[in-house]
Amino acid sequence: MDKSDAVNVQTENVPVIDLNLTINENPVKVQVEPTARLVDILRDELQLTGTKISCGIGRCGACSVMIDGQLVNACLTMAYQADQTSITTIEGVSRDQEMDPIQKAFLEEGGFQCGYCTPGMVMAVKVLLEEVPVPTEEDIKMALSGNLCRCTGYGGIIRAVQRMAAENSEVR
Amino acid sequence: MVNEHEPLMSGKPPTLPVPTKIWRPSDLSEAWELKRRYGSEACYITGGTLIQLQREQGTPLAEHLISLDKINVLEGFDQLEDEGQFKLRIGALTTLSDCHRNVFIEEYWPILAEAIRHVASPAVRNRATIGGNVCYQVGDVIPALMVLEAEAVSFDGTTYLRNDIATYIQSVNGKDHPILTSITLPEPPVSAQVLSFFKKVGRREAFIPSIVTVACYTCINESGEVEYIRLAAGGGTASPKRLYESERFLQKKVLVEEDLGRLYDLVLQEYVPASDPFTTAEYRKTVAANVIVSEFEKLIQ
Ligand SMILES: Cc1cc2nc3c(=O)[nH]c(=O)nc-3n(C[C@H](O)[C@H](O)[C@H](O)COP(=O)(O)OP(=O)(O)OC[C@H]3O[C@@H](n4cnc5c(N)ncnc54)[C@H](O)[C@@H]3O)c2cc1C
Ligand code: FES
Ligand code: FES
Repeated sequence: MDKSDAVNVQTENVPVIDLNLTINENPVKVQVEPTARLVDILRDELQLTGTKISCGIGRCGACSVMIDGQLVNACLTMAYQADQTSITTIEGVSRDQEMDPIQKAFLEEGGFQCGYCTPGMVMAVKVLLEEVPVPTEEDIKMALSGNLCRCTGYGGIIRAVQRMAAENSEVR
Repeated sequence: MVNEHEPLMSGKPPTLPVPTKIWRPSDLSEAWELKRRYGSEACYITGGTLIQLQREQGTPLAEHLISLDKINVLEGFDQLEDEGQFKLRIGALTTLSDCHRNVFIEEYWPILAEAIRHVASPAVRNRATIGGNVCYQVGDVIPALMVLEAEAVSFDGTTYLRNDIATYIQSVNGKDHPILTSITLPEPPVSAQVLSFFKKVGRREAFIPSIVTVACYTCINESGEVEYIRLAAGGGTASPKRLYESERFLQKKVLVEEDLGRLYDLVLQEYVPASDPFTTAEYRKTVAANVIVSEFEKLIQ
């Protein structure tokens, strides 16, 4: 066998790969083109439509998910790059029908209006609070700099994160 | 627009886009061989953030994408000692987020950390690599790497080449450009006073393409004289460049107010940006000159 054939991830005539993922703690296998966008796989193949799509070029953050604990834009991630990874989407954030405290804080502080940016925002906040449980306003602005909201003016969103930060500092 | 009177299909069947093949070689020689085999139909890919952005903007993917992500030697950091000097080697595959978190970069090369902070958003930086930023040729980290005298190490199929960043960036235009393998940062010189800065000016405060980027590393001795200076500017679609004339003018000077006007004129003369539909080259020049002069003014005050 030609040495390089060993590393090609698809066979000559079938431009699809077997993609093995863990999504929200469940093992998932799908056959997709290796350059398919993760956001399309989540929404169209797996019906996980909580992850939104807007700009498609990494500018708005609506498609934010966690891959192996890191925040990424699902619109910028190709299928082959996600193979063998563990992905958390907004559907995996709540447990046993219970909202995540971050979701509650968004609800109670007016952190959304139309709600389109909210799944991405919640994912970004989740990653931030895991890394920095009590973030400063500067930390919050930096962490959310890739997530755009057209409705709220960000006030309610920042309040929601600050509320979480206050709760976290009490726990400490 | 479709003309009603013309048949929609001519005799020739339409050409369908060729599905892209992904290759994931495990060593550099194999990656190089694949690129030689498929030539202009192939393209290297690392984080893929730029390639995916360009794809969405209408540039079709190459027929063969050669992903470098399984080549372990391209990853991570190594601390080196060379003739008593501390150096940091950064593998080309290292993400911008990992560079930003690196304690040595924060301590010894803070303007690189500052430049990285201004690239895209945290989510993009989690995938985008430092190598991809350099190979982009207009990446925001380039001016910072230039003034820090970073060295680009690349592989041309047989040997490892060592070049300054500007020389490597030029080689990226060639047909068979060498694979960038790492960037080496030498410990920057120290003196009585150091003026170093990285500034990115865009149309918004954060997460925006640059109009102008400026980086500088200057050492001033006890007599207030500039004894070492590296200055570079970029922004827009023109590759960043060192501003050698301005550097020569400032070298050995104890700066006084009158020098700032001359410095302003020199920057306008030698910084050659490009115009685009949003920003003229003239405007970029003015911004770069203002940013640089305002930073050097601090030395006088
Ligand atoms: C939303 C968004 C915002 C952005 N904002 C910025 C910004 O503010 N500033 C900025 O500088 N950039 C920005 N970018 C551009 C880009 O994401 C970064 O420059 C990034 O660092 C590119 O790295 P990558 O690993 O994703 O490169 P890729 O997309 O994988 O590759 C980029 C190019 O480099 C080549 N290449 C990559 N690695 C190597 C290597 N080791 N050897 C040889 N060739 C190689 C590829 O063939 C390709 O041509 C932005 C991109 C997006 C999507
Ligand atoms: S849809 Fe992915 S960042 Fe906008
Ligand atoms: S709530 Fe509508 S975009 Fe954010």
